[in-house]
Amino acid sequence: MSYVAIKGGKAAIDGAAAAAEFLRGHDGSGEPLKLSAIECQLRLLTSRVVSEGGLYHPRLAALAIKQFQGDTLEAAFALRAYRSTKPRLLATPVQDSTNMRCIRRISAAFKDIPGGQMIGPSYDYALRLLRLDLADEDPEAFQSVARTFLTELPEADLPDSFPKVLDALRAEGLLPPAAESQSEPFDITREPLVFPVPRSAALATMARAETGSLLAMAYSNMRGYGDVHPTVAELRVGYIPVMVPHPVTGDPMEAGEVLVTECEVVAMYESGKADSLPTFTLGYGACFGHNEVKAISMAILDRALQKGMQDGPGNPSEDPEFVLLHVDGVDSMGFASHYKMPHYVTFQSDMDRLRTTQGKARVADQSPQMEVKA
Amino acid sequence: MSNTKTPMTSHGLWLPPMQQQIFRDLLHVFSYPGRLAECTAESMTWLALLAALTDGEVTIADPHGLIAADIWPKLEARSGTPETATFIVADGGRTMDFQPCTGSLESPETGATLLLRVAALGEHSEDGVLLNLSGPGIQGNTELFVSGLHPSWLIARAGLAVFPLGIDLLLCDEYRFAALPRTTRVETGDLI
Amino acid sequence: MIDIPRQEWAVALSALPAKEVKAVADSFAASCQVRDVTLPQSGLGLLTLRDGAFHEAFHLGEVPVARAHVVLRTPDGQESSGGAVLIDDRATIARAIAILDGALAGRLPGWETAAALVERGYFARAGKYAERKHILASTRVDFSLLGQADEEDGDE
Repeated sequence: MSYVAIKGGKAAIDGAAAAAEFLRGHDGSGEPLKLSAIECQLRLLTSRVVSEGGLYHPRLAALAIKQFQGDTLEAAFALRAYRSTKPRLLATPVQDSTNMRCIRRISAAFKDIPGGQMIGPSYDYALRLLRLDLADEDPEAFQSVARTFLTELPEADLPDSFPKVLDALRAEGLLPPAAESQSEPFDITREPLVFPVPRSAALATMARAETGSLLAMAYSNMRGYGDVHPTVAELRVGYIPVMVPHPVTGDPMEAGEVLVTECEVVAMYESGKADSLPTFTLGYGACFGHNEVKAISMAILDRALQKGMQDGPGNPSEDPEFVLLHVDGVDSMGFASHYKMPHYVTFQSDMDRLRTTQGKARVADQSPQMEVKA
Repeated sequence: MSNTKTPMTSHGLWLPPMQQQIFRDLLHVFSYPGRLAECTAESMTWLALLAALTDGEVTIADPHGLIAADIWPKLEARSGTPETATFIVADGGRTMDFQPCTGSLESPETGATLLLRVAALGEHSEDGVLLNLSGPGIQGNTELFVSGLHPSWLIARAGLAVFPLGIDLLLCDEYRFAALPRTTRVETGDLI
Repeated sequence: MIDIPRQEWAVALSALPAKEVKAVADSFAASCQVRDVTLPQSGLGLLTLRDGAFHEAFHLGEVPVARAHVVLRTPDGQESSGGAVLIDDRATIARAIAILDGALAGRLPGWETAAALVERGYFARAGKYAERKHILASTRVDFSLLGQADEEDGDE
């Protein structure tokens, strides 16, 4: 394919940028969006862009959403472009999500879990009826919502962190053993995926995958193009403290905290290897921000890919190449968008070929038939 | 010759304006081998180049101990051996006594870049050598005068590997630097 | 004054307005000599997480990292090293926090101001944690009520 360098389009391109800005500024109220409003009132949208951009910077994600007028694919692209301008300073030591400062923690597998189930901020049980009172929201009423919530609550005496539900299952011997080898995790920002890839590459790729793509693949497995049959052992949303060595003492210090959604699913049990007992199979999903559908989908696909790598893929969601190469939003959006770029030369040659072929076909129709003399 | 372990007091070479200027000059000297660029980093030309070129993703070998202990943390780079390092800084007046990495056919760019501290570039003096250079980036031929460069460096450079494998050289005196990428043909002439 | 461990000083200070933190750091820089051991940096870090299923390490994504390492020296020769690593994109605030870390660790003259700042930041964070616990407490599922409802319905 050859792309044609276009001269004479500069004015149109500048005009396009101005036209887009015109539409952005067309709001009669004249109030530009505040980044804090996007981060807060559209927090789930911001979470989505943070995780798809692969960079935990909610403020910049909000900026990207504002700049690209709500296009999440473009916003994630902008975040990725920003991160490519920054130097790599470190890789953190391995963090443990057991230390998560949860705001939500549920289990579908068990009713009673150590520490209890706390629904947290969720729309799971909400009626999907449009709240028309939001159409013209009173600013004072809006501001008092947060105040009221905090003042109306009882004193909370809860622990800072909660044990993992899976740990209880593991203690009972119902789960496969933890990994023995602690090889270096795959760095997808430095190395291309050349299959077969280790599980750490699959997890990293899915962690920054586009939510809809991941969901569609996982859904295909749920509906029957697969047999994971998952139960959510635990879903938690919260802030993981990031511990790194202090530059002077070398002792672990807290550098900050990162909002993460994490999901562990238990799937059908399978027979163990050789002499060991059968155990449940497991899937794991995690991503930046508050995005439960993504974490659940990722956990199901993690299990599906494990099965595919062990037994050979029986359906698309079990095929690592099919899944991992088609879930990245920037890759897929970029390729779809490139079709808009001038393909004039290629297409001209296609037209020439078609006309020639049609011409030959017409000539063949018109030529005298050879009669076979008896 | 300045003290090898002079502590760095000048802060300019750690700041973006100088580093960006040096980077632009490096592009120039690599594009036109043999041409000289000026460096105003208080006689520590090789250090200014190193500061502009390196970060945490590369390794530096310092077989002659030129880099002071308090400079290493500022460079961010990791310490490496002369056989494996991405960048090597050395005293060009001493014999070359190691085999640097010359890259691979798949990745010839991984061949080492050597920063050699020499006595003087471009100034004719009694104890120097005239290099006759030709090849990509050079119109016909050009001459570069160097003093304080031990012949073993150029001999090794020529004999180490077959193109595209090889090493690239940056010659630095107190105020100037020049590049000898592996594509340049170097012939050693007589003293003038 | 409460005893806050050094590992929490940086996050406590980062909970306060940056202007304030920098102002106090500047006052130490005015009275002491501050030497940068490493250049204050702003870049990225890979966040490595252990997966809950098989305990394998993987990279969840990148976080902004700001980092600084300084040595403070008072006019009468007292020295103290300070450092900070933050999930932040501003090298300047990392350097300011590193200065306060050094001043506090070495009990350099004026350290009480830095300690007071750390304590304020600590309580600001505590307030944030309390909000989260309120979210948990107000949404806790009481399964004991489930048992009561069954008895009332007489469906057992």
